[in-house]
Amino acid sequence: MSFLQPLALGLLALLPIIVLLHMLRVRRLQVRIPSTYFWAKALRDIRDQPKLRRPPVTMLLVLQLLIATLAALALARPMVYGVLAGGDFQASHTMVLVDASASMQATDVTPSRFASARAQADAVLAGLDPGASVTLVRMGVTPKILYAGDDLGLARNALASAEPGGGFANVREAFRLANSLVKPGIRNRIVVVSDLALSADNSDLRNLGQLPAQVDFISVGSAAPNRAVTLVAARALPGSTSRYQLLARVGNFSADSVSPTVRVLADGLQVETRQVRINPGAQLDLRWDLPPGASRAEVRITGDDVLPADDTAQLGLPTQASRRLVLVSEKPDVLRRALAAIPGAEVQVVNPKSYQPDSGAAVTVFDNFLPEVYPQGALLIVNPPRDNQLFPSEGDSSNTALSRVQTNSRILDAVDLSSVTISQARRVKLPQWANEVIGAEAGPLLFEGIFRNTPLAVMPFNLNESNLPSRVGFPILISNLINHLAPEGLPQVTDPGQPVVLRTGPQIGTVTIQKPGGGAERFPGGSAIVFANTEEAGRYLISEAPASGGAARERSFAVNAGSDTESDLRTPREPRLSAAAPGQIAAGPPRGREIWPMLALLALGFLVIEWWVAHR
Amino acid sequence: MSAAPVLFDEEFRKRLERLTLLSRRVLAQSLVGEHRSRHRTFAAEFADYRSYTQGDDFRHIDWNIYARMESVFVRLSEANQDLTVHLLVDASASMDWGDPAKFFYARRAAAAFGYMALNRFDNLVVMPFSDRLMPPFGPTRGRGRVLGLLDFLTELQPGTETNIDTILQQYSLRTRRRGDLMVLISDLLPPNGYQTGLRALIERGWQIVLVHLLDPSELDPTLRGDLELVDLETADRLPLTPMTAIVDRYRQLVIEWCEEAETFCRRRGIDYLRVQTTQPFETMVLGFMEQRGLVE
Repeated sequence: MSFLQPLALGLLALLPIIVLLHMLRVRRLQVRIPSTYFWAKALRDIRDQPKLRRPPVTMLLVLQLLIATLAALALARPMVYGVLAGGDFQASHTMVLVDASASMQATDVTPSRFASARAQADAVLAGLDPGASVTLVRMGVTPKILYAGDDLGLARNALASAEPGGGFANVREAFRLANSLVKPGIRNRIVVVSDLALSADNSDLRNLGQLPAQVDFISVGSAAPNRAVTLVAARALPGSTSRYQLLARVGNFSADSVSPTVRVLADGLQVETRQVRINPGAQLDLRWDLPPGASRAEVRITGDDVLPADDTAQLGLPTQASRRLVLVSEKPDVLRRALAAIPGAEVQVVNPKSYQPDSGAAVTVFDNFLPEVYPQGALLIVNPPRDNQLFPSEGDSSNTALSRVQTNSRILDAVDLSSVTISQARRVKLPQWANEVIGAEAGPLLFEGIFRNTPLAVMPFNLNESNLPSRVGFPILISNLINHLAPEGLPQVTDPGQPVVLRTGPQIGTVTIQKPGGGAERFPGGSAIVFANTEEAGRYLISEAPASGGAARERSFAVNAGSDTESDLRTPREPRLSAAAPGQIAAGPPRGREIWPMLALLALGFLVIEWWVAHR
Repeated sequence: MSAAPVLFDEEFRKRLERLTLLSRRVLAQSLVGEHRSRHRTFAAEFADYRSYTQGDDFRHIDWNIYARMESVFVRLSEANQDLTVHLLVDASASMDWGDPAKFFYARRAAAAFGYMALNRFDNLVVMPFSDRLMPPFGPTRGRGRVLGLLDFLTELQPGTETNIDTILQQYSLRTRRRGDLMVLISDLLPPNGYQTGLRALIERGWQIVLVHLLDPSELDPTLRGDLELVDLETADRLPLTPMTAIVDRYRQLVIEWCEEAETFCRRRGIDYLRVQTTQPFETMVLGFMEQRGLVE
């Protein structure tokens, strides 16, 4: 049962007042007797008439209490479901979204925030009526349904085996998923169990519209200080192809200064130990020159805090092999310069009029042109033609002020967009397969993803109608895009949950990927493998076994837990939603039934009886 | 509650006849041999004898002579006073309570006493009272006045409050006959308002019988719940929830009051009869006669 106007239940406060009135104001029956003399004397002798008596259980009191109770209930507009409403037994649907982000591994709550969240979610499940419909969602980088059905035992088992990951909680996608799972005709409820360590843009969900469900938040954890390695990157030293400079960013997410010791290892061997001092709330960039030939590096903050997972960051160092990039453009100068600056890039410029699909290019860049037949390999599409079928345009728009920037994206590493202006852009709808990297009111300005197994990035505006090419960050942006679309070998480091594209040659028979926490996945070799199960933080080992036998080639890539959002445990931020009506029934055949008319009728009946009793 | 139409039905008159016969027989037996009344109902001074003639009061017959001589002679008293029986009937509001009402019972008792007195050719006065003395019946004598007595009592209505002391003192001043018999039929309510009046009567030589009439509910009340008691005479209101302790104390007070009245009467030679309305009036009358020593 639920109440559409629960505030009316406040009228139940009248009940003790009615009882009190009956205790204070006694209804006495008049009795005539020959003489009150002896009664008065007895009363004086005994003196046993307390002013406040026990509540007299009279018919009048019982009737008045019943009337007040029924009236309060009727005004609260109770709604019954299931069998009572003449419907089937399934009267409600509860969706429990459990935050499985990296911050949930924090131990400020014993044993961990995630364990506490699991217990809270379990309590929610345990409190549901038997047979109630429940959906359990693990809220990680990619929200995943752990259970959907009406067996609470199985749901609780699925919850018990859930574990946190190394990435962020994609609340937006989780709510989109929940919205799509809303069951029509019954009462839906969404329960979010989270430490609410969200970024500002990740917490603003108002553009999702009004959810046809009651949304409740259960918060776990509290404000806690933390230190973390939030960024690692490596660049080739000038003039060298085998020596790298390591960049690490260490953050102090607390109200006090900290002086941690930072250790750097290359291929497992210590390179340097440095003690640093970081001011409250600040982040410090550190650099080291790595030994020649190092294939992987690791940065560690020594000491304990509540989230050890982000005290370590790893990355793989890229092998320097040349990559062939094809640029199809009538005016290639701007892009050609940026592409040529990429270390190891071999840029070929092709006029659109003479374009032929080239299967040997790592990335093909189409500028203001789209072919009929696409080449193999990754694609970067800049300023697609208005009449293209791939990204239908709704015209141009000048509302291009950058309003949405995914600062977490590797594509924007070291790219300063603060002074970038775009005078006009195509109004394009974000495809379902795509992730927006930069957006404006007009629509997405840079998006990427995997489309029909092809890595693809799109900038739906003319670079000449923007000052982006003149910005320092432009070549870095192009370089990041190319490396993202066609990573040579493996990426240095991957964000948790981001797919990794592995290119294997036709000679590879089997590819085995070992995950940091244990467990392995196998893939057939000879083609590009898109491996998306990267939410765990740590080092992923790749073993490529030749089809003809022989020793397997070993490689690795890293996923790190530390980030500006997940490592900052200080301020929980509750998602902002459009005003939702608690207890609202999703559109569909109504299953609940209001019973206030029956209650009102009962109250009226008792009122008539009460009048008769009082006046008889 | 008065029930005038059935106050003196045929059944009641038959019972009255039987009682009268019984009382005569008792009286006759009590005068044979050594039984003498402790209370003289006749004039005490003996002067002479004469033969019995029809119409003589057979109370004056000397049965000893008849036993010896088988001739009927009557004694002649020197003073040869006519004794009057005064029936004072409490007609205050407190008497109009109960089922049957005390007033109903009081009138039947008055009828019984009056009937016997008229059958014995005593002079009879029936004086009802409430806040004042009401118009009486009598003085009169003889069986021919029985119907008049019953009619008078039937039409009697209860009044308002009363003060028994005042009533008795007033009555004592109206009548100066020493030795007259007063039968006071009352519930003595309100309490503590009768002793002064009775003393005044005794000082004037009255013989008094006090019939203390009560309803069983006054001795053993069954009141329950939250009540407001209203005094029938004074209209005083008393809010009361009769819890056990209060009811027990009430009972105790009423019994003490009754015993106090009995003690007061006994010490002053007043015959005290405590009667409940559930008691047959014959029993009450016979009790009266026993009290007067007319029957063992």
